[in-house]
Amino acid sequence: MEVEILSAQTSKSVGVLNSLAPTTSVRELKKRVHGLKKSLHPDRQALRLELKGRTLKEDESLKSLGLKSGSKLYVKDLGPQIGWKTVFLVEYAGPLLLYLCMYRRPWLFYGEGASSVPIHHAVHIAAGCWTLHYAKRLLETLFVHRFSHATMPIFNLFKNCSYYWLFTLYIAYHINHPLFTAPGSIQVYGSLTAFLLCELGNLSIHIALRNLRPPGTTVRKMPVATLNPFTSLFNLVSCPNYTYEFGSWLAFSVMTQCLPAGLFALAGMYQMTIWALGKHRAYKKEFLSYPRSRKAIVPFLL
Amino acid sequence: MALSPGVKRQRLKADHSPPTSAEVKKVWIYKSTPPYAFMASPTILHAATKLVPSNVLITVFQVFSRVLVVCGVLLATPTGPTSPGLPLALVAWSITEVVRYLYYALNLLGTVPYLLVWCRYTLFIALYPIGVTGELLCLYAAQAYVAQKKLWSLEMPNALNLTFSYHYFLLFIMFLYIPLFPQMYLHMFAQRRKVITDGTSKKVK
Repeated sequence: MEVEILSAQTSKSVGVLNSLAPTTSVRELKKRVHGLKKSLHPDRQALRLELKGRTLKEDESLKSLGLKSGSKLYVKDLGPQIGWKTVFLVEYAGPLLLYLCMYRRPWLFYGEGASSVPIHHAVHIAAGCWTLHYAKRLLETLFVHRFSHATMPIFNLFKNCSYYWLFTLYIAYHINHPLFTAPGSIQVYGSLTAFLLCELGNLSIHIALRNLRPPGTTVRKMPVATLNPFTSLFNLVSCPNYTYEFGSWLAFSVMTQCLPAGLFALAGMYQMTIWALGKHRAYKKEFLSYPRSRKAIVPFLL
Repeated sequence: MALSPGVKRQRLKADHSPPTSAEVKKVWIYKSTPPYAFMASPTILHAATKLVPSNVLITVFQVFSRVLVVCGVLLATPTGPTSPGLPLALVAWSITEVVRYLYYALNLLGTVPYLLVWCRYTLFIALYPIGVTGELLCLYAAQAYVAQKKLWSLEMPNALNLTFSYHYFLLFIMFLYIPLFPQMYLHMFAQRRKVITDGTSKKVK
């Protein structure tokens, strides 16, 4: 079979692929297109049947798409890509290092002598929680998460790092400030407990999601509660990992009674809600027996 | 006794002499520019609902910067209005807005004379940099006063463990002009290229 490849940007022909078997997958087509144009690495390509159509999945084939000889396919250049693992490691390492720098009260931000002002125990606990959270994220990136796409646009690196790193500096500046006022012990230890439970919850969900997907595949299975009691939140929401994540940051904000931390919790919640609503919609479309009572991110409400 | 305009006269009781230009300026700033600046905010809604063909994000930046300059700089500080940036900004804004809203109104009626289209998509080339220069000069004149008086700022310790430095905020806004102005200026040029080609104008959808 023969298929012509057209550029989605210019609608001009990039070239013609011949000697294609009907069983040729999209993944293999991308490698052949890369052969036509060196700059189009497979990860940069989004193949489509129509100019503004949906992106074809890697495991679809010419046969499954109903394509015959002489058909045309559009290729969109997604721009320079970067490995998602790389992005995650860089964007999470920043908060870990920057917070611990501010924890030592550098003179650059607080003036001379700030580091000798006594530190309330709540500030130590906050530093511990922050470190735990980002160390957990780094370890999950290395050992737990499995993704559908290997890469993301390189612009995301700058966008994501700015978000995490600048917010880290903003929050860390206030909590480690010599004039920081800690709330009472009940508030501190109560929220610390809530924080730790939410961290465990979030980790449980990540592991449960990983186990849904066999290694090396991009299989999609409906998520359900497992033997781990933390996963029972799946009975109420589609994305309990986001629910627990917001819970952690809410607990952290109450523990430190710090508005900048609260703003970070809200910003994260806003973004995660958008993602959760999208995932919830996708699950409902994909799995016909999806439980009607499940919400996206907030039990019973949203 | 004839004095040159703008010279502050001795005010006597029951003096009905006409106000000095400094006083006129002050009245104008306090009474008319705030409502004018706030009246620009529905512009965002018009763009969002596509009542007028404008980009929402760009309109948000324009309205926000204007409200900030009028309320946060001109009304809030005594140094802001004394800046030479004030007349620059006011002239640029005034001409731009008259042209723009006349264009929108006639666009809704379906009859926009080419001269008006030309004005809308050409005058900005000079007015935009002039307006931005005016705004930046006003911001610069205000930030020193804000730093000294710690205007609208919050320090620690406080119950929410929060700080806010209006001085740094103004400096940050001034800094934002560096990446944003070229983008918005080039966006206008791109719009111009779409609408005005070889002395004729294409229909704007």
